[in-house]
Amino acid sequence: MLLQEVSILQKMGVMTVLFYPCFVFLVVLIISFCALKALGSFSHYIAWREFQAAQGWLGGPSVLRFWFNGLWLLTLLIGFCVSWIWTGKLSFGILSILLVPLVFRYFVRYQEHRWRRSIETSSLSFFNALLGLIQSGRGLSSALFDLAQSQSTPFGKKLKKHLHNYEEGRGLILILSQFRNKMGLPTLENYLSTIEMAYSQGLEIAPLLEKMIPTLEMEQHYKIKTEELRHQMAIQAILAFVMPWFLGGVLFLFNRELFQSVTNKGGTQMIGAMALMIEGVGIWVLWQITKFS
Amino acid sequence: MGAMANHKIFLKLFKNPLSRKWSERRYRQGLIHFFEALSLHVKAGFALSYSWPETIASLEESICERLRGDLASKTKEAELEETVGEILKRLSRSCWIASYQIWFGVVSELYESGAPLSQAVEAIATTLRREQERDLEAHCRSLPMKVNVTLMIFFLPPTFLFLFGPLVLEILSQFK
Repeated sequence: MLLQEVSILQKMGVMTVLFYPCFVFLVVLIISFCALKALGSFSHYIAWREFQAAQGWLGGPSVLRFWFNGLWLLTLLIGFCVSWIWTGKLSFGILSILLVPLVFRYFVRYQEHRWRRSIETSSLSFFNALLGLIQSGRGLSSALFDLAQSQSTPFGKKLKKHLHNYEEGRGLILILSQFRNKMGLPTLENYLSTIEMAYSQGLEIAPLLEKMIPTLEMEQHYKIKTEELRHQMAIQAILAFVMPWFLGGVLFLFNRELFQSVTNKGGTQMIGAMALMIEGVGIWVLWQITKFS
Repeated sequence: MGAMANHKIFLKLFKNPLSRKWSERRYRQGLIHFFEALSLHVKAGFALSYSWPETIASLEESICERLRGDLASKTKEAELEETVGEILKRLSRSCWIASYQIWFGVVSELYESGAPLSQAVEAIATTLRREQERDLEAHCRSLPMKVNVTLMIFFLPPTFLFLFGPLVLEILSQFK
């Protein structure tokens, strides 16, 4: 039986043997991921329509998390089924269980990060315009309404959705606090709560905005700068991480005999594991030292 | 009790050495927003005894827990709450970041003597903000160096392991 399998493998060639499982695995992974994304978007739409949650993708109230967990399980089942039907084995499904959540988590995080960043960036122009309107003699509520109606920036659009509640009879302070809580933006949260507080106490908003805008500008500038530096660092780290494995791959391609003689020796696995461990620690250290707070 | 102490020592050993720095930055960020909001109140003519709790209440969710605990009034004996003057005195003696004790000391002195506070509070907010700015700049400046050193320490050795590891194994097998 074993000899038969070995002869089949010899007929197929080493590259095919290596390539085929990778291909199957990748397809199972992509199908599982796409299913999760499509079902997730649909559920988010329903949840948003039902509960009026002005949240980012899946970053919202518990109802969204409930949907998300349910869909996660469903997608993993899909991964299992695809793997079973195609290859007659569950092993690829198990791999998708390990990798789909991980990939998907980072994908969702990245999407939310982009969404938050677009709101934060657009908030600056919004506050500048708000200051202009207040200095020209408008009240806070009317200035907010006018800007939310006229500005099509992400910040303006989100605020507009919340200001709908004002027409339904809710107070501006309540709307602003709901908006602040639902956005979950730590940089803007402090400023929005200060505006809320000033409005509720009947204090002047213009001097507050005058002080707030340069500070917000500075904070955003440094945040973007730090993120850019971290991004560059991530590219460097990925290249450095891949380098030893790339060298191994080159050796496999150009000098297969030497590669096999090396891998057949005892202790090679230990070297590989050690290299992977050191690199893992390196990635963790890099992540920690580049963080600001 | 002993087990508890051992547990704490164990936790301290595994504590991230950078966590203190991050906490300080979050504390400072919260303090900046607190003093800015407070200056707004004081400028408008509200008394500090009224403005202090109002500002804390407005920023409650957005400032870090440690700062909230420091700024809030603590219950004394006979269930009496600390007054603003007492909170300021306590902070001027034992603020979590020692270098900020002087600021609370200044505000405390001014409050006790009944002098106007708005300028002092505004100056504190500005100073803290500059400090935060300098810290951020320094962090951005030092990042490339930190990254390069980490890359050299953690990513070069695995490459050498791959290059020379098999050779070393070969030599070792010759000696056996």
